[in-house]
Amino acid sequence: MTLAPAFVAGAGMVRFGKHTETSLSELGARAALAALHDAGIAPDRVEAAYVGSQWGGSMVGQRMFKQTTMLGMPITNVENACSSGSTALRLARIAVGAGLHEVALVVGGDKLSVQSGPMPRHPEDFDGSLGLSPPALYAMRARRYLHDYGATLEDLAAVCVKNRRHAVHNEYAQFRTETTIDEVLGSRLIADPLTLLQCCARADGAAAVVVVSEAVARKGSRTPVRIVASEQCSGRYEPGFRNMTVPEITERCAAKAYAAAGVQPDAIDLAEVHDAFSIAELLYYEALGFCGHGEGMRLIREGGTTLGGAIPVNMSGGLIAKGHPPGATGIAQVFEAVQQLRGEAGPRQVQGARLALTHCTGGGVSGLDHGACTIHILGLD
Amino acid sequence: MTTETRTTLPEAQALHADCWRTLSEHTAVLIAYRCTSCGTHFLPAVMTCTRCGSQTFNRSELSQRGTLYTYSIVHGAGGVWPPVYTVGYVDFPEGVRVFGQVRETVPGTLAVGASVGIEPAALYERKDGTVVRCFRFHTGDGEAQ
Repeated sequence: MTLAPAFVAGAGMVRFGKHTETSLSELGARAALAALHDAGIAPDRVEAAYVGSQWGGSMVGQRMFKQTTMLGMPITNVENACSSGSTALRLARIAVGAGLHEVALVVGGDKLSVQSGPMPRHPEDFDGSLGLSPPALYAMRARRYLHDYGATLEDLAAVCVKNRRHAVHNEYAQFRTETTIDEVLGSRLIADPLTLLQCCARADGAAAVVVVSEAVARKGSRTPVRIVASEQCSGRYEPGFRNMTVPEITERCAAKAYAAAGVQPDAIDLAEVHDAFSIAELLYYEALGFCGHGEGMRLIREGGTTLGGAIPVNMSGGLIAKGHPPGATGIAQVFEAVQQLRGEAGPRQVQGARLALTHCTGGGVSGLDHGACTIHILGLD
Repeated sequence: MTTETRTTLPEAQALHADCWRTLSEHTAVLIAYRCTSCGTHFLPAVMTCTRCGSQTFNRSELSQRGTLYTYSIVHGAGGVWPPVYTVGYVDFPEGVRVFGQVRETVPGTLAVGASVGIEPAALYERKDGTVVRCFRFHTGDGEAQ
């Protein structure tokens, strides 16, 4: 079926970081109310909610909305690892596009500062049972990328330096001070060759967006942002020799998203990509078609992915500087895209931005590149 | 009065015991699941062959050496893991890639493309004292540690 258009009418989030004294329920509720306030839509107009969280536990959405006046509507809780929030957004987009709802609320949130060490895989997972963790997996991708393409440790660190510089101007980011190549490479080893500052931080946080029909969008006071593409893929099982520098799930999902939007990668004005670790951002430049395979290091060396470059990436600071509460990440990416498309991003504004891409991928399952990937393309009419 | 019997050795548990067996004190071999229809090897086991859809497999020992596709020396992972350990993916001539730990933990002793053998090893100890054993890769020539 062809879905009717859907729009993001408003977005809100709480600052990512340590919220030791605040429950995940309250973080989510605050983000939800901020998004409704931004949209100028009263809570009693919300017809359904879709809530993404990886570690929030049972009934996470109900626990959030219990803090508001919005209980009673259908609430759908979604777990899809790092793509939990963006998967919830896709469900809302489908529901509005199918005509089920005029106004749907999407919330993503997680609270991870209470945990320590790398996030574990499920006990059933073969690789996880033998000691594989997310930083170790990305470190092995990095090792192979350095070997295959002659990239340097400085190329990896440059991602962190750029994203930390971007986050200086983002009041919602966890880390708002600049860093240097030497500081990044001198921080302690987590999984060789990745050092601490090349790994996103476990953060607490929540973000929300209001997804509405065209009729509601046209009556609102804010510039509506059209959901041009909303695509999702699961990883394919490969028992043999996978090229670990080619994130196949992201390549497939990107092809679907560009086809749905009817655009080529060079039409994208800015992107928020899933830089859970430094190497990830370079691999995703390539997988999203912003450059060819093995050219990611050239793109960052040339400044192509910062303000003034051909494709500014992670103007919010990305996961590395903004922090990574997995359920919230995909929605926080859309929050940044909405600010940029409305021209409200202040010192980090990408001038003339009309089309933004957001990309989440993650979920460790043996034999799969990743478990889940989502890509959204958002634009001005 | 009864005589208390004590075990002198900690109990050992073989992890993924279906996937490997000990050949000698310092050598082990991996045992994959081979699709009887198309010959694709899987390790660990899957219910359905992702290449052809068959659900029938037989057991097939892999070559005793493979090639290190990539690796990482991991620090401070916490949990049951030692402060420093190495993990890697190893490609076998039968067309299957296997994840596992690698004996060497010193930078410079490992390289992408290295030939690796397989040995039985204690990976970690549970809180109750049970030693968890599994296969492990190493860059040695196979017998001498």
